Amino acid sequence: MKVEVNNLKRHFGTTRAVDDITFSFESGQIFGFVGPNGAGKTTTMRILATLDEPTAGDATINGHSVVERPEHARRMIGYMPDNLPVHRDISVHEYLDFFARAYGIGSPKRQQVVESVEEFTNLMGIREKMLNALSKGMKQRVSLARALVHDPPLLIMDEPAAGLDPRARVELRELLKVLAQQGKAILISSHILTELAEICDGAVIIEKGRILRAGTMHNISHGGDAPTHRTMIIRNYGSNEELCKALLEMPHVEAARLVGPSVEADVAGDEETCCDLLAELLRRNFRIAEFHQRKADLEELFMTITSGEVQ
Amino acid sequence: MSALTNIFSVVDDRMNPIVVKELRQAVAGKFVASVLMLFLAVQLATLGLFLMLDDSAGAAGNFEAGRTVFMVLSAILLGTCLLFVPAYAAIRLAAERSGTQVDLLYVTTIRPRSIIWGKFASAMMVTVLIYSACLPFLSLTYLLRGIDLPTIFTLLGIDFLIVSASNMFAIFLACIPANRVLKSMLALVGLGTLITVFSMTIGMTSSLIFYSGGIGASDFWQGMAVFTVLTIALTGLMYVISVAMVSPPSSNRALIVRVYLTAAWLVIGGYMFIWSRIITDHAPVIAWVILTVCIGCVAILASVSERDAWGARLRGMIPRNFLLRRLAFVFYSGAAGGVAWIVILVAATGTLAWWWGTTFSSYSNHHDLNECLDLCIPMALYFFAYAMTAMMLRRRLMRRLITPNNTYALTLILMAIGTILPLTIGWIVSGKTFYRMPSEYYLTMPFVMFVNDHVRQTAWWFGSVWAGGILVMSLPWFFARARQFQPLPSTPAPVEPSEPANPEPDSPDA
Repeated sequence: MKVEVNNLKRHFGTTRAVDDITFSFESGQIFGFVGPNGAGKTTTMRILATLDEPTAGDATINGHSVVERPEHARRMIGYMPDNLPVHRDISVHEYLDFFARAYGIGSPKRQQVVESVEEFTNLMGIREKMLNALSKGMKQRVSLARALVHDPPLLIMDEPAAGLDPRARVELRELLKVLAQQGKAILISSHILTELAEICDGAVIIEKGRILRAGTMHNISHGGDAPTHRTMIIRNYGSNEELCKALLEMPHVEAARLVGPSVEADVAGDEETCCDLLAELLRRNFRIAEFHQRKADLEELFMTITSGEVQ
Repeated sequence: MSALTNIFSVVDDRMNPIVVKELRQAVAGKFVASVLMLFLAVQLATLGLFLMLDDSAGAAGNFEAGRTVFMVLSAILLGTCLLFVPAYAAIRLAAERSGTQVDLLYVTTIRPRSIIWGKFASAMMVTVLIYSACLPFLSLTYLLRGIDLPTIFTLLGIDFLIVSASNMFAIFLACIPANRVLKSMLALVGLGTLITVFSMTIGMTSSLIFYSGGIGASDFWQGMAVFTVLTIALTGLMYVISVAMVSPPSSNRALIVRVYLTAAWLVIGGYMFIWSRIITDHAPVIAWVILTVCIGCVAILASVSERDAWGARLRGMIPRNFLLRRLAFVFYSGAAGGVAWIVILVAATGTLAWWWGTTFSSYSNHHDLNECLDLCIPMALYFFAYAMTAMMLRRRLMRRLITPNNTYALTLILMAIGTILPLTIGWIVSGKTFYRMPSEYYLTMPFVMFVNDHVRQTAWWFGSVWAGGILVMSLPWFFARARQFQPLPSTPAPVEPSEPANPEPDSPDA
């Protein structure tokens, strides 16, 4: 299953909330949607969820246009908005049962579906609790369960981790990983960029309705091209100062500095250059305990490439 | 047992999900149970007190007791059903409309009409619950004498019809997109209307059982038939407008409203013409003309505020057949089509009424029909002229200042200016009051035709010239919109996924 967003535009009067954006992702991928407030994330997600209509362009889910055939697309979408359910006088189980009915799932399948979703999202223990008596983390789980109740191949999640405590965040992250392993495509927007960096296979960085960067996390952090520079984190089982000096003498190493218990070295070259560097260090009898490339810091990248302007 | 379970299962699946949810919430919540208990307690106390304190109750020759108790009990029933049930339905819906709950419903396969129908059906079920609790008490009034069972059940039927319309009215108000302040104002309007309806219904019940000839009177059922048709038509109108209001803006919102109004116009028109022929009187036709023109005047404000261009979602529904496409243009969402639909409807009404008046000129109130047309048609011309002027101003001069969906507000502002400004100028220039100043000064007033006969003729002329002029000026825009009303280029439907989430979901619209 493939989700393709093609030249999508959404204008509100003179404001261009979404301005010609194009990206795609597939089953089994968790795709991050990053941008400052007012960047057009929620508008794009609402269009994908068939709740809004674009001014121009289209988005397809497995070939079904969300604009031309919203009824078909809806069956394939699980949408989790940033607001939480506020229904009064209804239990978790009844709420999920209601949505299962709304999706047209007949009995006895409905009972099984609701129970399996409750089990997956760990709601069995609170299924008889009233919705308005739940904590934010629990409501978020109910919201996820609701989005999953018709087993959609695509999940669209708008700020699902907002306001959650660390434990709830970790639990949500684990659930998303399992869902991706099950083959679901997941589009997730979040302000907690470190979280996204850990679980996302790819991301789109958007500002003022326009895409600034898109692609895999690796490509994004290197501007989309094959990286020519990388930062290596090296820890010596011994003196790191000697290691630092030795690194600075080597070709391709542009800079080296002590950072905590490790040394950070800026290397000009590809993976092969890094392999050569490690071999040279070992040849010089350094006892290397740690040698890896520093992961793309989405937060840093985000701050670098966005200006923070709001329309 | 298994067959019974299967039947229950099928019924359960066929039920509107909104009804199931609302009734579950009603059972789990305290409001409905509290109202029901209070209602029963008040009924019981009223009946008990009356029986204990009124010595003449049940005495031979006393035919007042049954009627009096019935009046009190039906007032309690009507008060509960007219105030609590609509308020309960409206508050719940308004609360849900303020959050993302309706959004969540839109991402399911449930349709807006099912949402409104579900809300209405659940409100009606609570009404039936209260009615069923009240019926034993009301039946008891028969034993107290003074009122017969047919009258009891007829009056309860009338009350039920009124409560149904009131429930729909409350749902309709709750669907209006509004901020907190406007919502409060709408709530006050709703409360005021329901209190008025309550008073009028009690007055009607009282006059029927105490003063008039009751349900056996010759003109009762004739009046009831008209009342029933109009109440059902009004309830239906509020239903379709509510559906349109909760539908996504990108959808074909106007279709259901225009189809309904056209059907209602035909059915009520046919009914009124037949009735007019039977009673040899033009009054039913006059009522139909007034009703159509009033609806047309309101509808044109809504139509000019509609979208000017069609999105892909709506274009996907446009028929490819030329004739069907022309018909769809008039009925589908869109300002140009909406204006055309109203013009056709009002013009057809005027023509039919004029033909009817000419054909049956021997009816005693022939003059009344002519006078009605003399008042209604200029009024329709004025509304048309104002609305089209507002739309032209917005398109040509205020494109950036006013969005299409606010054209109605510009129309109302123009009407206010057209009423106040010339009058003020007239007062300053001529130094005369309204009734003494020359008619030219207040010719732009939208309701000037109601002032006197002389002004009416001038208004005919002025309205025709203005409406004709603005129509001619708007023709290029109208034809451009008609040309743009084209279906999407055909694209092959994608192959269905091998394992869809729900291969054959059951319809939740049942």
